[in-house]
Amino acid sequence: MKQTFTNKPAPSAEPQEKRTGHLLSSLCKGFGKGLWTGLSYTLRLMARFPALPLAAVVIAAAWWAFAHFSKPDVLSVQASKSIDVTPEEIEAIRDIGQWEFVSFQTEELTDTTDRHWYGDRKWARIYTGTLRIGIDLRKTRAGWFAVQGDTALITLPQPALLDKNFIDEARSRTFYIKGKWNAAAQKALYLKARSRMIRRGVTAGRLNMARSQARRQMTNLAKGLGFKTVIVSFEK
Amino acid sequence: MLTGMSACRQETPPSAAPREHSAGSIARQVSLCSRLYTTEYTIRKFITFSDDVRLKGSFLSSPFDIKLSLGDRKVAIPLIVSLKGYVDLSGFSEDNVQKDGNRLVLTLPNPQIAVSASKIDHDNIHEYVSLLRSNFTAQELEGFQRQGLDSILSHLDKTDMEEQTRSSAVNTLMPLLRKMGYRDEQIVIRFRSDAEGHGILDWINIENLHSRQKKQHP
Repeated sequence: MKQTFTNKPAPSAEPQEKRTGHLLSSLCKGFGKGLWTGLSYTLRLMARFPALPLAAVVIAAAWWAFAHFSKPDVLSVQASKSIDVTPEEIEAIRDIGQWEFVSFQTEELTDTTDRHWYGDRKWARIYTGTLRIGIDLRKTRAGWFAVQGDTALITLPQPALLDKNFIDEARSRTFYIKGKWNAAAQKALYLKARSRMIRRGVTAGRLNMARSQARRQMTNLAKGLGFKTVIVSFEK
Repeated sequence: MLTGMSACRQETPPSAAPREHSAGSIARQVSLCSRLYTTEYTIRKFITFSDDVRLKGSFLSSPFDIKLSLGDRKVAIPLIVSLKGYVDLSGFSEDNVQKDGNRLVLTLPNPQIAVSASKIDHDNIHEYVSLLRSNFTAQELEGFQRQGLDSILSHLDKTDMEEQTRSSAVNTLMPLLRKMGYRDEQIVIRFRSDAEGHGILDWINIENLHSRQKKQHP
């Protein structure tokens, strides 16, 4: 069996290295040439405009200062949200003698609608208030507190709502509003809420509760003051 | 000094009682109390609000604040608040009474103040809004009203309301004590800081009260 071999010379690494060296040297030469060209161009430009380097330095310094000292929220448009400081005037001081026995804290959702061919207006507000039931000591009759030996005889007026102005309008809030409403509508809504709150809050059950509490508290007070027997009754 | 409903005892309605329903009812809380309201203050405040639009910021560490000429937005709301001073008598018992011969010493808890009502004078609300600005919303106006009420409550310590409540409480209880056979000079009513009796702040007897009233209203 005859074997034939073809003697092809093996590729040596030397020419490859030579090629890489040539490429690097040409790149370096090109870079050096480009650098030299840029530098000479800059020098020529500086010779022609001598103030240019100074302007560049100033712009760079201003840019650095702005970036360094300014913050992200450097600029904002703001509208105040707090009310002004104004004086408070005491309009009236009144001595009262109201004894509260039951209180009822409540909220009332009241709404109104104004219908028009061009569209409806609607307004719903939540009113908040505290109804206080008790007795007004200024409505007691002469001799409401009588003493017989060690017995106290107390005759009280019927418990009732102590004050018809019980809504805290400043704490009330709008739930829904569509359209512009005037002062008359505001007042109507307020009165509607008040009348509903009274109807729901001042019930026979609550008045009975107030009577029981008045009896208990008056007995405690009179016994605390030294009476052995206390009889509490209510005016008819 | 200012309290809400905390001093009252909450009452749970008996299960047998008929339940009440209302479509408009959102929250209900019934409480049993024994509060003797003796004085009422009516306070009026004009809540004013001026809405300037300002350009604010800083440049090179120098703050600046420039008013932008976009037009004004101003509102004035009259608020009337009714405050009541009271003495909480719910814990009154024999412990509050001391008898020393012919002398009667009554110790009461220190007065407190509650907001009875607040009302907006809707007829006298004034709004000024420039063409370039938007109108005040209902929520904005309500926010100002709440701020106004809070402002009044925060300045209560500058009024003499607590002292006035003490004087009125004495005036209210005196007829009751006279009916028991005590003369004015035999009665001492004093007030302490809380119902537990810690720290008696001061005391008032009838002579002191009269002399104070004479000083206030000569």
